[in-house]
Amino acid sequence: MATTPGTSAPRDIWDRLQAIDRRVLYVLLLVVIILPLFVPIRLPMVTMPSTQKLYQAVESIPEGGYVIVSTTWSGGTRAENMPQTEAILRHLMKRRLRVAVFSFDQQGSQFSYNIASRVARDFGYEYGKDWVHWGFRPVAGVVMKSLVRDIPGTFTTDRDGKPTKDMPVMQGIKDIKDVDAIVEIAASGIYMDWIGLVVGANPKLKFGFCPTAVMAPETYPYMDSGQIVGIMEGMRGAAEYEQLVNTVGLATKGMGSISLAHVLIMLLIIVGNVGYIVTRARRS
Amino acid sequence: MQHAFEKIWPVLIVEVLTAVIIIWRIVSAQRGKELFIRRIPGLNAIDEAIGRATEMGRPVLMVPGIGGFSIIALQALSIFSYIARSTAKFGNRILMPVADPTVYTVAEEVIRDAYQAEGHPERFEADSIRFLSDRQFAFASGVAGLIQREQIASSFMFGEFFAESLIFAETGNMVGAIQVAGTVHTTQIPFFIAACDYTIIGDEYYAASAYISRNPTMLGSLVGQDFGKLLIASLCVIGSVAATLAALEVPVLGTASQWFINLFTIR
Amino acid sequence: MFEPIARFFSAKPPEVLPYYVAGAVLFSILMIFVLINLPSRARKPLIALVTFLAGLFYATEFFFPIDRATNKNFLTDYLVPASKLGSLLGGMTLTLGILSLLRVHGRNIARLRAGWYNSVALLVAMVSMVTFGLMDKYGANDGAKKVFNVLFEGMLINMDATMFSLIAFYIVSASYRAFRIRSIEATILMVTAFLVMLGQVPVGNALTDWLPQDGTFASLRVENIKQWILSQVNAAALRAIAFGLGVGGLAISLRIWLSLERGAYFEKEI
Repeated sequence: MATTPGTSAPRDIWDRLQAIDRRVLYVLLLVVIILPLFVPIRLPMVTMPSTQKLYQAVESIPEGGYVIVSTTWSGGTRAENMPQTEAILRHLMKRRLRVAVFSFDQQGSQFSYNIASRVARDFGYEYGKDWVHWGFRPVAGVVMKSLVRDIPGTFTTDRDGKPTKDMPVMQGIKDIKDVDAIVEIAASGIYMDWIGLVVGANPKLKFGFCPTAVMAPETYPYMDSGQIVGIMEGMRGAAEYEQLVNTVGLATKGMGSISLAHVLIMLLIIVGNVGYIVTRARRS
Repeated sequence: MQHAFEKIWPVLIVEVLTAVIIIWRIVSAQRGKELFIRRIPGLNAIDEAIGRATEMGRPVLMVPGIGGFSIIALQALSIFSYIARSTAKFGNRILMPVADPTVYTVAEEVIRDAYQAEGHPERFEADSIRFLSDRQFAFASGVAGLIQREQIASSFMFGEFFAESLIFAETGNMVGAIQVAGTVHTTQIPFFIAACDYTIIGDEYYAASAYISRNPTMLGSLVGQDFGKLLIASLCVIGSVAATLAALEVPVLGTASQWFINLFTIR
Repeated sequence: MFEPIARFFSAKPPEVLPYYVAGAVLFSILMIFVLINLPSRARKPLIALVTFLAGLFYATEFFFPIDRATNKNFLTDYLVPASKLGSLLGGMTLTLGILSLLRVHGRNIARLRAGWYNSVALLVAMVSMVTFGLMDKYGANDGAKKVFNVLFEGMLINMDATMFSLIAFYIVSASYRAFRIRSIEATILMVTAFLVMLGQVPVGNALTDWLPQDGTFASLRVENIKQWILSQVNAAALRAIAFGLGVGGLAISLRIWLSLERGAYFEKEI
């Protein structure tokens, strides 16, 4: 049972090691997160197979192929989902693929438009011709079912309310069979809806998923089954992807902080256990 | 299907078969068949947690997660109905912040009914069930604030939880509350295990109402679920053997195995 | 068969729309009145029938074979109206939710309870967000748009991010407290957690960077051990849990769909 604060004061150093004030822990974490942002730490990074698979899947799309990028995330998970969005868009535009971006989240729609506009400028992408933003779309299930059958009918207007029908980027796109890949960048379990409602409708469709790190383990079974072609796992995945597309973005810069935070957690667990073992040995 | 799978029939057959088994077990249980259900410590701890709140004279918190109105929320409300009956009996104050307006309206009814069923409708306070916000982190900050201000003694978290799970559990831990949690989202289970006293894992969540109420229909359904799991586990074993035989290209058996594998291959 | 119903629910021209709205409101009031006054023994089968038909609609739409040319079956076109009906119900209950907020916080302010000023802040924030949100969407006032921008992008998004980042702090305190090697199982759990954490970050990768990238010894590289734990051990457990949850969900859905669940949530007679 959880102990009530203040009811059992630690006696000696070994007891104290087991009950460090949480405020001390928080200050330590704050320091190890902030420090590397000012003093960059660059360490060698190995690309995980899940990230590599996503990269390869994008590489295998023929030039001029059509990719839908869904950005179901909001400000809360910006630290992880923003670098993921930027990394995947950089790759898609670098490969000169046609890109359609939209979001099931209102904030995600705004964020992804800002990111896509910036990346599009870098790669000379023209809005309406090379890429389009379909804006915020509520009720995911209905949109997904609808886009399987009729993409222009599902996204009749872009985020500014302009008709998409005559945009060059929409030419030749009728239904899901004309789409080469879908990449979902999300902070939720929306990948299950894509798998259940869309992915199987086009056997050649590649579905990539970019979840927050905490969500990644639960998606592994779907990568094994081939329903997800590759996964970009949180900020670490984004940093690996940035490395693959030869760019240094937010994720690469943040890896120093993440590394140190992990080390801090492990050290604290060790410290707590040292106190615990010594106390137990004394008592026995 | 709609139409993602080209081959919907194998899925339909397995689903219908599982449904038939579940209904068959429900009917058997309703006819008075004795059924055994193993001990689930997290659910046994509910009474202990309520007792502690009674001793301390501090409120009991119930959070039905941030999901919409679904079977997961209904299951959570079923557990909370049981808890509310106990709190009605002992006169504990309850707090139930809700993130979904539809869940809120049903929750209010469920808890009011629980108080009525215990014969203490006058103890029910409408303000104890509160809609806070349907935005994830606005709701999280609201619940964390309630936990701190009200210094809750016990916390029950059942339903759909995402990133906010640890915020609730750790804030509850800070105020020394005894905490019982359960969710269907496996990624949140480690957080609950780290910060709560008892955690309901996996399909124990769906067993909770049967375990608490001992209602024959629910017990029968629970046993039917186990048979369903057995069916899926058998398919997994057969699939593994079939994949091995197909890979070894065993005559006749290999072809039959490949047919079986194709039946369930959706990509 | 469903054509007249679809025609009835299709978009109406503005000149007849008010009549349809008034008719819908009257019909709803009448239905509520009938339902309230219906005897219990008639109400139960009615609720069971509506529940069954609603479930049947989704199940049939999902499993019924589709026409290859149109990619849909005879029910597919009704999914959107059905979903809109759900959204309408959600909208109505949101009103009740907002009333709950106003009731709780209005009382706090009226009785000057401890922390009443927090309630004032909440109500002011709520009203401001709604007002400036509507002005941003439908108005042409630049000042209002700027204010909304400050409220939404300047405040709300950043407060969301702040709450999410709290998790990092809580993970530190929770893991520091929870990972004690009290038993063999706890020790295995801790060692596994260490391996996964080391495999997750470059600093951990650096520890076994001296091992070859390929060959037998490559499996001992920390990132490969982590990958093996996640994709083999952890994924297998997750699959098992997912199967259990799937079957459990099916069982509960069946009980609700076939109305075997009556009495489980509402203790009194419906």
